[in-house]
Amino acid sequence: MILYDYIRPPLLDGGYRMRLATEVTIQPAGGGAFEAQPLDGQDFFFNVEGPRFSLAPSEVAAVFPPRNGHGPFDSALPHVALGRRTLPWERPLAADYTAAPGDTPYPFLALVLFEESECELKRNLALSDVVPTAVFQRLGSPDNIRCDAVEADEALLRSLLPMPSELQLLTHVRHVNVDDRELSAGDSDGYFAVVMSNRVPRSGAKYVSCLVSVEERTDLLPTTDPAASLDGGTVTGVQDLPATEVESTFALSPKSLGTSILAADVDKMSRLGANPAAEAAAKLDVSVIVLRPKARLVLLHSWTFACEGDGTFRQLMQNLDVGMMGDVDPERKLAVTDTGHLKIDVVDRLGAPETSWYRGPLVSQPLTRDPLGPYHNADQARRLVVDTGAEDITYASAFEVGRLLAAADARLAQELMRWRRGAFRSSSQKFNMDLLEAKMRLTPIQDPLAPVALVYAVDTLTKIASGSGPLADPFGIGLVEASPLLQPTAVAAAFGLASEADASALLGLDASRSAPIAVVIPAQPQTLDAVLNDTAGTALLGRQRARVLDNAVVTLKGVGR
Amino acid sequence: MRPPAVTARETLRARLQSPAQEAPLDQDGALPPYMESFLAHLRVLVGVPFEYLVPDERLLPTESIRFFYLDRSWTDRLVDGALAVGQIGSREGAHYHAHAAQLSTLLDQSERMVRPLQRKVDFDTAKTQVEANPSPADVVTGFILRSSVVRQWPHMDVRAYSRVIPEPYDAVDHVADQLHALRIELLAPSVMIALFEREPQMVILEEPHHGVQFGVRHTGARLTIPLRDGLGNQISVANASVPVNAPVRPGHNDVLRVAALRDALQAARAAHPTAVDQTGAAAFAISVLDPPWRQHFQGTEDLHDRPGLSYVAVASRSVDEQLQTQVKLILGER
Repeated sequence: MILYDYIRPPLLDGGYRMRLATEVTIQPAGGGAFEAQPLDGQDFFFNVEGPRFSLAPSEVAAVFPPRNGHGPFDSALPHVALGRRTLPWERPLAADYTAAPGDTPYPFLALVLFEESECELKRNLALSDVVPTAVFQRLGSPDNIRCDAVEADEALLRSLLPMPSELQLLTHVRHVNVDDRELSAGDSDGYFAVVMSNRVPRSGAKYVSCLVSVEERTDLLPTTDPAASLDGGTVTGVQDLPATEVESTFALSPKSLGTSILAADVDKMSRLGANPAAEAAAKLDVSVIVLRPKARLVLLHSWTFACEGDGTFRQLMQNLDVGMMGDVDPERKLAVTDTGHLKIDVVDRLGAPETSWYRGPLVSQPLTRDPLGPYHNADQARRLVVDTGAEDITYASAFEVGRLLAAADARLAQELMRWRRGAFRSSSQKFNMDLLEAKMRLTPIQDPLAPVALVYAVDTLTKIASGSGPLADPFGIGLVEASPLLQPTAVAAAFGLASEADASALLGLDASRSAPIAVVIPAQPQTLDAVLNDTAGTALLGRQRARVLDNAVVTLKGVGR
Repeated sequence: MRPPAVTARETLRARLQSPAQEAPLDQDGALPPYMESFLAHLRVLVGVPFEYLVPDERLLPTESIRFFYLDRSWTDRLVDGALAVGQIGSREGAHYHAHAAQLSTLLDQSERMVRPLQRKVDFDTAKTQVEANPSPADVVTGFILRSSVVRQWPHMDVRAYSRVIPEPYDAVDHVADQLHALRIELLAPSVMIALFEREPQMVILEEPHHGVQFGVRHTGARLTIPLRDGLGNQISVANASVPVNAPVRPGHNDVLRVAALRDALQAARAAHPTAVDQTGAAAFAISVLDPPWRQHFQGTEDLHDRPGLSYVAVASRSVDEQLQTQVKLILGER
């Protein structure tokens, strides 16, 4: 874990003007002084906006003490971790509290801890009802802003809120390792801005933690450390004067006093004079009035917790019931076998109720992997337990779950089809290639990614050009030899000859086939003229060439067409 | 036999007439990435309804943690089932039968990229990472935790180690002993499941670091803070911490005077120079941090080599005498 004092955003929130200008200086031809001839500039306007009067719950990464948690949190300072590391410093606190680059900036967020009775949360108020008019103006009088607010005694707020210089200390950035987390940590980069409170919860009380915006709230933030400092000693506290509190006065709107006071009422009160309480008392003819004005703060996030009982991380962890899957408290009366199987009631396909065994995928012992797969339907995976005679539907259930999950995913079904179709196509392609190679005696293609048509076309052309085209029985000898009339067995049977040898002799097979006829053409040295003059020879060559071409045509006709 | 959908002649004819004579460069029949990712997720039980994982609520009472081995046959059947979608004829069946072994080996690798994928790493990067060091499938273990801790302390650190490491230690020094996490996820707001490759000897759950609490001590009526050094360790003198009084505001003895406290901490540095220098918010945070609690789970009994207990995965039949009697005992209730 690495801690940083602050991470300052490159640009604070606000409206910006970007001016693009090009400075051009031109030297006149022939030398001389440079003349400035700037091009027309252009202005661009943009806003940088971040959370200001409301904060999406997703921005809050964690809170401590836990939301609605119960536990002994009396030795812990509450804090909130924000997923956006620059968030606390994205807005200036106030005009007087700006930090030069390199100095620690002032955050505009504060975490204020209230006891449950000390504050009231208000939802969806107009911003002008939340902050006094002066603050509203300093905020830039934004229109139509509605926000949540927390309302408390102004005096209490003053005593709880940290000073601006304390705000700096209470806000920092942490960088932590997110590799070993569960997934809801999501796309977090591991940086968290942490805002902590300055109030320690008391045991036995219920608390509301409020993350508030103190932007421009210099009217509430204390600026001086209370002088009467006691190092941890007890303070008896300033005694409240015996007082009559009034619910309303004629000068102020009825709901203003005692319950809440609005920005407009604050203005009215200040008009009452230096001592509004005394003046109001005079008008009301009451001896003493203690005005307890309330103030509101813009509320960004809040949660409650109770500081009582056991419930820290450590206590909860230490009290966990630890065991292997399948360990059951005997009092719970759950019958689990040592293998982890449970009896479950199912209805078989005929509608009869049946008790079967089931075990989830989480088991207490290492198991060997079933080597009998793959299975193509759930029934293949149903098993009978020999010991008991009952059926074990563990793996059949797993099969069905997988099937349902896959069927529920439309894209997977498509991809599955695509996968199969691809496989079928490639197998069909392989079949065709084998066929072509056999029939046309083509060179087999080794590279599965080679373009088939191109390779085959080139191969065929090469073979034609080299003259060793596939000869398809040019003389028809095969056909003749296959004739039944030339089969010695058939002839011997048909004509009632004594033996096949006689038939062979009759057909002249033995003599003609035993000794090949050798045609010897005497080699003659020839000149080109002699060859050209040999018309019979060239005609023969021409016929040979035509026959090779015809052969190729005959062979390819079947496939090329 | 039904006539084939396409004949060799027609295929060749179409092929030769096709204007693009270059064959497509991807090999037909390769596993589509989406499908590989889906099946890999199934392998680590992503999406499986909870009641299939824990069939009875009593198996996982509140405030409990249960460790387990993952039944590989179960997840294999899950994948079989997923691939049975659209398996309408013998042709599809034969196709899967031919590819099953290869697919299973592939998924043994791919299941390791589920966690990167879940953490939004893109598929190709994840696949490259996984293929960089292929190793055969190993036993998968894990735990399922049902506790309010999960809800109240989101993002706690979960680590499993192949050996017991005595405290104190720094997680960074023991990355080599750490088991690869296949899945760490919340199944419900207060239920967490974690899956690891291989068998851990020690599992730790650590309080989330970004939520590490700030702590003060109650010393009588006063609030004190133990002095800490720059690494957050308490400075001890004669085995006792050095408390620094935390000043509070008058009228509110639970509200700290933060700036004054910072000054007090800085003043204490004069006597204890190892204390953290108060330079800003980070240094102040270190001074008031309580170190995160680290819960160990270790020393679970290893029954792997226990003699006389043999598990036949398919029939799940037991040959153990004692087990049989138990089974009969249970059935005797019927």
